[in-house]
Amino acid sequence: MRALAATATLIALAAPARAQEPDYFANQTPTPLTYRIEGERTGTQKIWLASLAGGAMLAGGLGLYYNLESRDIADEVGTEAGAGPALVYTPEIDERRRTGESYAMRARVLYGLGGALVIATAVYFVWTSPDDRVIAYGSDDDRPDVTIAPVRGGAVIGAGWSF
Amino acid sequence: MRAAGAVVAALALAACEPEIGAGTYYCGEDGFCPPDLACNPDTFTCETPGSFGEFDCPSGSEADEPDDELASAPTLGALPCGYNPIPREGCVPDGDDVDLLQFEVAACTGANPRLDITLMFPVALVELELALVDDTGAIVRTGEPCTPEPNFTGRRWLCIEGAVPDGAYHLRITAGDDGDCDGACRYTHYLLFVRYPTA
Repeated sequence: MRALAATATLIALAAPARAQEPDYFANQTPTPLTYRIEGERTGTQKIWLASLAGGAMLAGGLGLYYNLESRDIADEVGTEAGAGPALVYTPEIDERRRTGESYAMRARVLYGLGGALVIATAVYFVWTSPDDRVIAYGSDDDRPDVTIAPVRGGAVIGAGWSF
Repeated sequence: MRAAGAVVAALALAACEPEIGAGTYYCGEDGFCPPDLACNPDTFTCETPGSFGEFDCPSGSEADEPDDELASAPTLGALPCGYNPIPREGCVPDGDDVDLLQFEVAACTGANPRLDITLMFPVALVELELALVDDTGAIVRTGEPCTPEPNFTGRRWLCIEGAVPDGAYHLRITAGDDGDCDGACRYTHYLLFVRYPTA
């Protein structure tokens, strides 16, 4: 957060008393000047967010790859009951079947992992969402710190704000 | 959040595992079948365990027994030229069984008169050996593997093809040493085609 302090200095000189003048602003209600500063995540939070989202995409992509591979193998060696025998069940077909089962399992695990990472990304996104800061000038809460220091021939008046 | 969970669940369910239905594959060597299925020795297909019984020779396949000796072998007689009959069905209920079949070959006219013999038996059960023997029992020819690829029959094929001198012959079918499930499936049934094409 950026902080800036400003100091205004006035030198009050002894002035001759003047005649009473009308105060045109005495009856006006002061309206504070407000503006909003959008919050920003830290670099570490951004890295975590990118890692979680990237991990989710990677897991989902790999899961989709294994899903499609397992589907191809299922189409290749899978059969529906009642279709009638077509081929001899060989060790090669069995190996393909086991590969298909393995790919299907990998797809499930990766989908699960990807889903968990999506949820984690969303939770982390909300959790680390920075609050916007509202700064109001002129309100009672935002009165500047005023300091007065006597100097030779008068005084130095200082005011400090932060925003 | 719930929508994301539903998408994840749907994708997880979409992962495809190969499903193999009962009766959709012929048994492999030694009755090899997918998990949760077992080899039905009668149909030599992979079926749900408990849905079939023990091996039994097909009806009528043992009608020629006893046919273990040359003298007692059934005969086809002289093969007519261009002979192309329906297949004979046989059975080897145990490893000691020998099936013999006698026939005679006479001279035929034609571009390529020859014997064309095919023996087919399930891949899943004990392997058979096929031999063409003469009247004395001496081996003239032996069956050579001729199973087509891809094999849509579920059977191994052994073939003997070629011209032979005129005379009387026997086909001898015996169980071999392989494919008997370590002795647990030392039986089988077979189809035998004896043809005598001339072209």
